[in-house]
Amino acid sequence: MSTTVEPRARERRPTRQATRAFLTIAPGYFFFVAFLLVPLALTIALSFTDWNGYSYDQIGFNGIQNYVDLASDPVFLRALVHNVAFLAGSMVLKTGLALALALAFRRAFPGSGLFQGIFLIPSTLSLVVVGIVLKFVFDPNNGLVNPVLESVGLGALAGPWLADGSRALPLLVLLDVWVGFGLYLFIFIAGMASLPGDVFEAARVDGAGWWKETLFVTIPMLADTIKLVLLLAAIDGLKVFATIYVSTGGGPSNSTEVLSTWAFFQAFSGNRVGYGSAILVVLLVITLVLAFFYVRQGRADRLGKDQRS
Amino acid sequence: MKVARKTLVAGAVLAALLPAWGCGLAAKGGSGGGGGETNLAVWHQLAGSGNEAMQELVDGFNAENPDIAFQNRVLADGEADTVVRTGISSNNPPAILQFEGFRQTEEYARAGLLTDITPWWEQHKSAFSYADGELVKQLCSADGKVYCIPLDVYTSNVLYVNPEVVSKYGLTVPTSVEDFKTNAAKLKGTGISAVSMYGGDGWPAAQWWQLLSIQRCGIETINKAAAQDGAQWDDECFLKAAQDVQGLAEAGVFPEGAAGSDYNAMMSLFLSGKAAFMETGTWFQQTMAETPPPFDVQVAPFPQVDPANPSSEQLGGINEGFGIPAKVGDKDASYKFLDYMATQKSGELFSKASVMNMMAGSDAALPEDLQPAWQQVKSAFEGGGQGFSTYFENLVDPSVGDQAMLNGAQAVVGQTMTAEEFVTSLQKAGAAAKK
Repeated sequence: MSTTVEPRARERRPTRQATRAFLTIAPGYFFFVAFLLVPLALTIALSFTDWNGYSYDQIGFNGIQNYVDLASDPVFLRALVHNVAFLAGSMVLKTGLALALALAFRRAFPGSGLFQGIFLIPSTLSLVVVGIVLKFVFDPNNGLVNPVLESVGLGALAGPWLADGSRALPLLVLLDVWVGFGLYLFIFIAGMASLPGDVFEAARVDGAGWWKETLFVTIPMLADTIKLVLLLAAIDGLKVFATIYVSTGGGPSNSTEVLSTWAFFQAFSGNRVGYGSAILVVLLVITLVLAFFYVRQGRADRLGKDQRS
Repeated sequence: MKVARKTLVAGAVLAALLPAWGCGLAAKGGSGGGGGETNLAVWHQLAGSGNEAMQELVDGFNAENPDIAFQNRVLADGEADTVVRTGISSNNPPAILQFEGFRQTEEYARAGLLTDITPWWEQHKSAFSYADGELVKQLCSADGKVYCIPLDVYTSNVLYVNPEVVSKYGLTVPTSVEDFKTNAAKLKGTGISAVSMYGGDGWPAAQWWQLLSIQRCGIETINKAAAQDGAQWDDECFLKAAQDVQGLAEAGVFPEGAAGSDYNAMMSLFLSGKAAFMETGTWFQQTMAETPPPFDVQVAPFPQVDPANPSSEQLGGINEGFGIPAKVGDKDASYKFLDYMATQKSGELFSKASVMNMMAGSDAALPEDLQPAWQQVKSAFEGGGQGFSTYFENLVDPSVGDQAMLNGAQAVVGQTMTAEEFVTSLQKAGAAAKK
């Protein structure tokens, strides 16, 4: 004998909750859609046009011509290689450095809190300021680095840093690592803090030293965090723009050009907004592919854990 | 759950439509026939003392026109391209905007972004020097109509000299291009460069090649090469000019790392006494007027490839013009401002601020050290022929100018590209752009 009151009460509670939930997320949702999804959709749409950026009534559809042109654009291909260099450097160096320091900070020592704060400082700096300071510091004639190298007997290493393509790119990769690794350090520290203590206790009881504990207990338990940091570092490496634009502009002679700076040049100096948009769509696709693998790997891991339990 | 999902979807649609609605409202615009609201501002690229002169001009205009309030905005060199483009296309453009002329005038005009000021120009052109010259026509005209007025004029055919360095190391102020190599040899091992030149921005390196190309090829040939009609960028004279630059780089005339850094670093190197000479346009006078250098900078004409047969043709001229964006609402205010600008009195404001300008009769107010450069400008305008070539990248598609020409010159100076490779790649880009 069911009553008619209960179903109506069940319907009223979810609606009120849903409305309350929506109102809470509404501002962020609005900005996400209006300022991320809509521009993204427009960029994708523009990538199929020959628009020069001057007037909206001059936008003309040109099919996949921009993408065809990309395949034969030597600077685009070079920029892609440079982005891979940033991606690799970002993933390996940022993650490695952050993990190593986080492991070192596991055992508190005098000043460890201060050092953690110091390592975070570069992440808080404006990338434009960092790029400008880099130019000053590495100026071959009026900068700081060459005189310092000469004064400590390493004058052979002094040189035209940002004017030399073979030095400029590695320097910018290292700068990117320096700016970004602090945040990942804190992600690892937070991850380690959430690990259950009894596992480590058990490992010590079994006679595991620091190295074995790190290799066989800590790192495997941090696997999800490491994968997340690798993904974030990869995305960082792909979207690099400000420091390069301000310090080298993609030069000398495109030797530090990346997809974002090349897209910027094409859109705003080259009068090819459609072509610049196509470059950015390629960058988006690469990012989505990485995210896809991360999500798929995450699902596989969860499935594996469920099966084991 | 269904209700929640519907709410989310409705919210997404609303969030997507709100910006579109806002854009539509802006497009319907404010008062006036132009369709947009008027931001009563003048945007320009005059730096240093030139900006101060513009501020004085704006203050004077506002005092005489209390019902109109203009504001002055200077655009930094690096941001000018993007700011001008977005400003001129927006529904709230500045009332007066300085933009790069020549090709850009054509492109903006054909996109309907500029106001045709031909009637105004015909009425007021007597206020300008050399108003009927070819350079002014190329700067501001498209399809027979006029879209801007010239103001500041520069020449890059000057060499700034640090007399203290010259004296200390027994150098000579170059009168021929080869003299640079002699000076560089004397300065070897001293830590002082013969010439301060950093090509990171592209144009400082390209200017050397352009100056030498004008001397070797002539402006007529340059215009033909730009049009890819009757001359090509890999012709003998352009190759020789590139070889001149390559030779200077190989002789150590330029500082270490010349392919990198930027114009600010270039000025710093010269003003810190670490270079004997610096080649740049006469806009540098505005920088010196605003921040007096620590030594008495002298100005000499840029040396000649063949001093026995000197060329009077100059690089530079007028590169930007002041125009009225088409979407300006209150064009009366814009025209009033142009009326105020186009006077000898306004020109003298700029002259006193070390800005050579096209206002007739204002040259008498130029400082003493700028008078020689003005004589060069006059010779170029009055010497017959075109007299001035604008910077070559203004004559061609960005893929040719900004990319092949500037990057290539930077590479020649950095000795990562030979002169032959440079002109070959430039011609390849020029030919591809013409298609």
